[in-house]
Amino acid sequence: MTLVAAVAAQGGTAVTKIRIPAGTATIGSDTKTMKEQFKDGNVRLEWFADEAPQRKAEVDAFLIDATEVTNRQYKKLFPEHEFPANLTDHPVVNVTWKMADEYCRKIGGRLPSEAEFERAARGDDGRVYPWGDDFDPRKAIYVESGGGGSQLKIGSFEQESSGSNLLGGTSPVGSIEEGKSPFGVYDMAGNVWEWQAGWYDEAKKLRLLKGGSWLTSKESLRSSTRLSDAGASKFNDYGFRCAYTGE
Amino acid sequence: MDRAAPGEKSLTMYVKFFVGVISFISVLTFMSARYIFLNSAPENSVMGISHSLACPCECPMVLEDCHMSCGLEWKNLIGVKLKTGLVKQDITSYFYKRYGKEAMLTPAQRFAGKWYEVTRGGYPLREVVLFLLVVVVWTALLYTGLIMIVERFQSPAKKA
Amino acid sequence: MLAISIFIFIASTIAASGATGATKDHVIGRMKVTLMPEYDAQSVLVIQEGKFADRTAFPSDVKFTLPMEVTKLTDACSLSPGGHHFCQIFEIKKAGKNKFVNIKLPFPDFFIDYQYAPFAVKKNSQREFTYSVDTSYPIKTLEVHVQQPARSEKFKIEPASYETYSKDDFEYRKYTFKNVKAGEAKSISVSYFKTDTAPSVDLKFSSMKTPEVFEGSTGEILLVAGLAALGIIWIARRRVKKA
Repeated sequence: MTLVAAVAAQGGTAVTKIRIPAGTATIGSDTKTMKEQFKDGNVRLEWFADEAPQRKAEVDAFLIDATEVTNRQYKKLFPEHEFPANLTDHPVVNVTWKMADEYCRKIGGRLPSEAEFERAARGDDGRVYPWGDDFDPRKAIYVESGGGGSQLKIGSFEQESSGSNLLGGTSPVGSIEEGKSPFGVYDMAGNVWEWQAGWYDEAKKLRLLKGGSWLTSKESLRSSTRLSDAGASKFNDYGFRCAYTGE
Repeated sequence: MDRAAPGEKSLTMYVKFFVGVISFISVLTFMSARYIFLNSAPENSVMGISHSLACPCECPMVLEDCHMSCGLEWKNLIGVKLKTGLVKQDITSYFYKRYGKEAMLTPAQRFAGKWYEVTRGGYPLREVVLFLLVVVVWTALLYTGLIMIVERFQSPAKKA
Repeated sequence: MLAISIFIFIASTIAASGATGATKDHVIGRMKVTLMPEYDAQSVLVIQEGKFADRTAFPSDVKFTLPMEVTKLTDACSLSPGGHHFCQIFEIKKAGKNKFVNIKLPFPDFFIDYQYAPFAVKKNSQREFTYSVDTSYPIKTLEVHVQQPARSEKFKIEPASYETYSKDDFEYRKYTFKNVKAGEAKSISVSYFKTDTAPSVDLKFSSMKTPEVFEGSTGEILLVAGLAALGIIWIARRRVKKA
């Protein structure tokens, strides 16, 4: 039984938390590695320059949600939250940084830091993707996964436009077992970008997102990729998960 | 003035025709490339950055030519980011990371996008006529200049 | 033989019109019209998007009425169920006091946008215009959104029964109409005062005007310069030949 099925079987609102042991987090990527990773595509190194240099950081033990927060879970705390019935176990999207932060605090948690995210995603060996160093299109929900695809890359289902199906291309959380991180955390690559605690650039009021989404190319699925955006932004590829201090 | 021999006449005609064709192709290529590739907007402006991105609406257009709601959303997004102090590289990076390679334009896509923009209908006739007139006039100018150069080379030979 | 040919011709014409769907039977399920005066140009940007109610009637020819002062029709597109935009070849024609555009839509979703100039833009001036919504077809739900231009004062629209909302630093007024009949008059009158002549997004995000083949008067300058140079060369060569 997959995680999402198991969670759904007992009502769907329970949060499964994964314990991440204390250890060294590998954060970012070095230029040489990125050159090697990008050699096949039309990818400019300077677009990912904010990942360099690669560094290490010691992270205390913490807990993290096994999956991104779902619509069902979010609605439990915020009953006014609306979403289409077929997206119940999909990650909640169209949430600002503040909304994500508020949800996590209400359940006794917080947004993860970048170091915690990369620790949870890259394990002890600092792998490129949660499942390893080699890209595998079957192990993440991204632009070529068919879940929505590139034609749904605009708008959000809050604003209906002439297209009736701009609902985003997310998938149910935890649906790809093979894409788990070494610690058993799901969807750390793809599905939705995840808001992080702290700032990408405090002077410009930019928050940090990690993980890539159903819209992105494979380069953004690397655990070291960093996306910045204003905290007030809400899009149908931005979601979050919570972390919890302590063991 | 001596009349040219029949053989010389046809050679002159061939030379003039050849020069005419070269002139026309050169001017047309230059003006077309200027239209397709030249970005006259400042680099760190909405249009300056839109010049490098593809229309997200799956039409084969450059974002700068896209007035559809999806294109306007992207242009707004660019504008908001410019206001926060980001520059072209930061914003292009954002679009690539978030939307992938489909957001970026290859030269072939740029050419296809501009061709589509001009040929799909509704393009202002005035612009088309002006473009053709400029091409014709500058072809004549280049042709005249090249013929003068050819005649200069031929003149010493005749004197000899 | 001639009679048979004529009969076949008439029959096939009738069959063809039946296959593509007679335009007079179309009903629009939902349409949203957004008016954006002086948004990115010294004119009114109009975005008209929506969906015909009967999906099975498509592909079909449809007709949209445009104001006489249309300066540029930028897009006329359809949206597939998968969200693909199919931008169509279109032809603008005149009929009486209006212009109209015929397009063949492969799908019932449509998107057209155009610029039209119902008033002259001058410094320190009152700008007013009345926009008549295209009701060529019956519309089950019609929304009209009017954007207030940046730096405008005394912004007023009629009728007065609207909602207001904000989006992306702009204020909007919104009307909702139900069951609009074909040909029913639906007009929105807009007036405001502005001291400058720059579009809303010009100052916000720097220029967003679509570049034409030549920027500004570059084309004219090139043309005149080329003609002048040709003229000079021609005169000079004539003098040399005379000499």
